Amino acid sequence: MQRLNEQPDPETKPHVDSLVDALPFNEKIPRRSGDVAFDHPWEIRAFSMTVALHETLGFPWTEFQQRLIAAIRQFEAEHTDLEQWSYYERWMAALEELVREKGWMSESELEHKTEEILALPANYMHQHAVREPVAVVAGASG
Amino acid sequence: MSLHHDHSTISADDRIAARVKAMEAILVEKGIIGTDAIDYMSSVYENEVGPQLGAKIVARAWVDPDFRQRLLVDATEACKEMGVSGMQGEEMIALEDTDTVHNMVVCTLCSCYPWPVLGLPPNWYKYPAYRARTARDPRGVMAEFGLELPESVEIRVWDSSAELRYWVLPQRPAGTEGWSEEQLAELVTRDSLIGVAGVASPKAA
Repeated sequence: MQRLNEQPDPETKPHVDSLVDALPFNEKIPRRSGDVAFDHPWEIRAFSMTVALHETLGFPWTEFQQRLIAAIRQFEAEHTDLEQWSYYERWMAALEELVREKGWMSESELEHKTEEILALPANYMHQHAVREPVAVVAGASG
Repeated sequence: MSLHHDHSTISADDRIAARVKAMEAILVEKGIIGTDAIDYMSSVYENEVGPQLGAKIVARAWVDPDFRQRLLVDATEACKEMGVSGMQGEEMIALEDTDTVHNMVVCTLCSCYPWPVLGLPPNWYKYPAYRARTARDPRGVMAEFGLELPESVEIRVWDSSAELRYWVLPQRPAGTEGWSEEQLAELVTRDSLIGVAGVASPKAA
């Protein structure tokens, strides 16, 4: 049985911290209480996907780092208001570049799948409000 | 609701969220990476993200009986008072724990979760083991998280959906008389807002 409250290995966090520390514009990474923080679920998903790809496939972290630098430079070249950039939006642009260059997926595959997902009604699986408890375990009396 | 979506209503945020989801789906489909490897990496920071907003709301409810009342009547509106919104047109209900009733939240079908209040869902929230077992054996699941309640307490399990999301208003722990809202908020954990943990009293913490 899968343990529910499983925690990551104690060595994983310092390791992931060290990957983050090696990234460009480090001071722009959103943090709360010193730790890397995310405002939207997709941000942590893009982050975790990148780290997991690096850990699983073993390509050098610098390959992502370089593409992130390039993605941020590209934003700077195209915009005048440089305060407005979002770290994870650029992160995703860099990850897309990496994934294309590695040949893992083409732009059209990604576009096609994105459209498919957008075409689903929001939370199509579980739309209706459930107003009664789904289970009640009565307390033992006396 | 129409099944055909209108592109003009899709926000930049929805679009990038869909792109991230699409990328993960393709990578997993092609066997380049497993969902569990991504879940594992997201567990590194998910606890740090924390339910700061939920904790603040709970602490306010503990010190301000009028706010507590408004929260229990209409959590969506009461959360707006605290500057917490962000889900469009979706309703939230705060479930009140008492000496005789303890509440737990699950999404039996997917992972519907009030993330503007609770932060990001923990990975286990979407595990089939949690989704299925919580409705069948809530006490067993609670025990796995280390929560043992007296036999006399009734356990109610609530199913969050896209339209109606639940979270738990836990009981204020003993030994916190005279504490400030800020101090109280420090005690509130994400797990206590889902109902798999209580709020430990400061002596035990």
